[in-house]
Amino acid sequence: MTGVDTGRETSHLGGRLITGPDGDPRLIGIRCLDCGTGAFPATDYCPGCGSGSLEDLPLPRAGTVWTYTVVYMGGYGSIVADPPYATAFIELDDGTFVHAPITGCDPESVRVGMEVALTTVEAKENDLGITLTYAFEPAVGRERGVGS
Amino acid sequence: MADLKDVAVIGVGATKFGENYDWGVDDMLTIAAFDAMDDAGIKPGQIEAGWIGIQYPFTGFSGATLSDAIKTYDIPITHTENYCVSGLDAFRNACLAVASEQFDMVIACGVEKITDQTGRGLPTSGFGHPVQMAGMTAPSAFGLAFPRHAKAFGTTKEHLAHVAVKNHFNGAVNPKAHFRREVTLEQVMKAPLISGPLGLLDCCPISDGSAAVIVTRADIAKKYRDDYVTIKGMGFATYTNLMMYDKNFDYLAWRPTVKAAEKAYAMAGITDPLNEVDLAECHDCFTITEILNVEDLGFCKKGEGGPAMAEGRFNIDGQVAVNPSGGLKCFGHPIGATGVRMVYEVTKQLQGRADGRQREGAKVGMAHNLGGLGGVVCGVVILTNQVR
Repeated sequence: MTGVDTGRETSHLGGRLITGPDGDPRLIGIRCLDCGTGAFPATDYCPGCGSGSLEDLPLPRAGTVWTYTVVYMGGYGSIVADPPYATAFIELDDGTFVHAPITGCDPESVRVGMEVALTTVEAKENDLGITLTYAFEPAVGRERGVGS
Repeated sequence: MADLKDVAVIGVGATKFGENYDWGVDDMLTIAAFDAMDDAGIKPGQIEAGWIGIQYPFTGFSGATLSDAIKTYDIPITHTENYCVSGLDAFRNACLAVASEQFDMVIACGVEKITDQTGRGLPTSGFGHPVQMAGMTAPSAFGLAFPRHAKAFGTTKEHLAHVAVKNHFNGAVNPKAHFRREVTLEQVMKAPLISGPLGLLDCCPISDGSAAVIVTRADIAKKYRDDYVTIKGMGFATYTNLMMYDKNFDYLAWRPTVKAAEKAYAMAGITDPLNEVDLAECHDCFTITEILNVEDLGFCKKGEGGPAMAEGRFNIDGQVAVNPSGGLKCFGHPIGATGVRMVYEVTKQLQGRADGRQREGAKVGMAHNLGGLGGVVCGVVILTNQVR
């Protein structure tokens, strides 16, 4: 885990989330040393070329909503929120895609292109043993942590 | 040596689709399989091999689910599972077995019994990537396509509604359809939201049901009936469960539909699908799914799916009749049964036996079956009533 603050580390269904001493959360993906592909959640092989030569990739905290849907009938449920909730594909500032819930706003206000930043969420009671997980919330300017 | 174009369908059968609480899996399979055998004019003892499409473990395991239903033992029967394409993949395997001349007379079936399950909507646990699927439902996975299509092409919720109106119009007269009623544009637009922008009437129902078809070689088919139909083209394609790793994934097309159609058209020698295909049973699990599919199948240009629906180009008397049966939306979608049910409908259409919903003069028909959240697997089968 080169270049990453040590701190509270948790895992969410295969995605790695690190919160540093300052409380800022970071998602950890992988970068392929052979073809350069970056991906999240982390894998043991490159999703682009199959190589096993990978390094940890701390992902930017900021991105924009690429697409989304608002779930009114939750089916088998989210560990983040009760319906209605928004779930989205986020395009992070380095081009990596992350699929995550959107919190901290009216779900019906979510739009393509909306600026968002990573946050942590206490998980609802679940059978998976997860207590802390991640989501994205609306953020602009310095709040987005651009460049961090 | 035979090839796929020598493969013929000589009998089709199906149960009514819907909330079949009074039937078990065995009941439905027995009804569909004997319906198909009666239609073909054969007895169970003539079946040499079978394939059965089932997606969910709670419906059944192994080929024994079928052997017990038709009381036919000591023959090879294979269970196929391939998401919503489980049924059409059962049919594909049956066709390949006949084309290889390993067997002369085989059965392809599909069945699913979902309404007995608890919970709302389709159980999606174990589908796709666990992170991608957290908090997701089937309507969500397809609903995610809408904002991209709307941004790129101006597609509207009203365009989606036209798909539901068309398919309910067709299915309302189909005696085996889950729903036998029409819906209005206003009803679809105002229905409660399930996963925005998809409302209740943008979503296919949770259905029970079974379908079966009898497959043989064309030279044998002639002994059973004059109006058998044969394979003209076939293509299958598998993409990925992990779209978020694919930098080229754009949610504007179902990649397996594009690839499967390319293969099927190449085999069929079809270069202008709009004018060479009379009808298509097209996977419409959600209205947005059909919009992308008609584009991916080449029935209109990419981005024109919404306006084309609104113009009625895919009505039963349109350029291509898309989902004359009512489709998944109205006829219902018992997952493992759906692909076989599509072959059932296309065969009936090509035989002029689709009472009340007949596409006049149909010569070439397509079964298009898409599976997996976000479009993972696809099968395209093109059938014809024209002698080779």
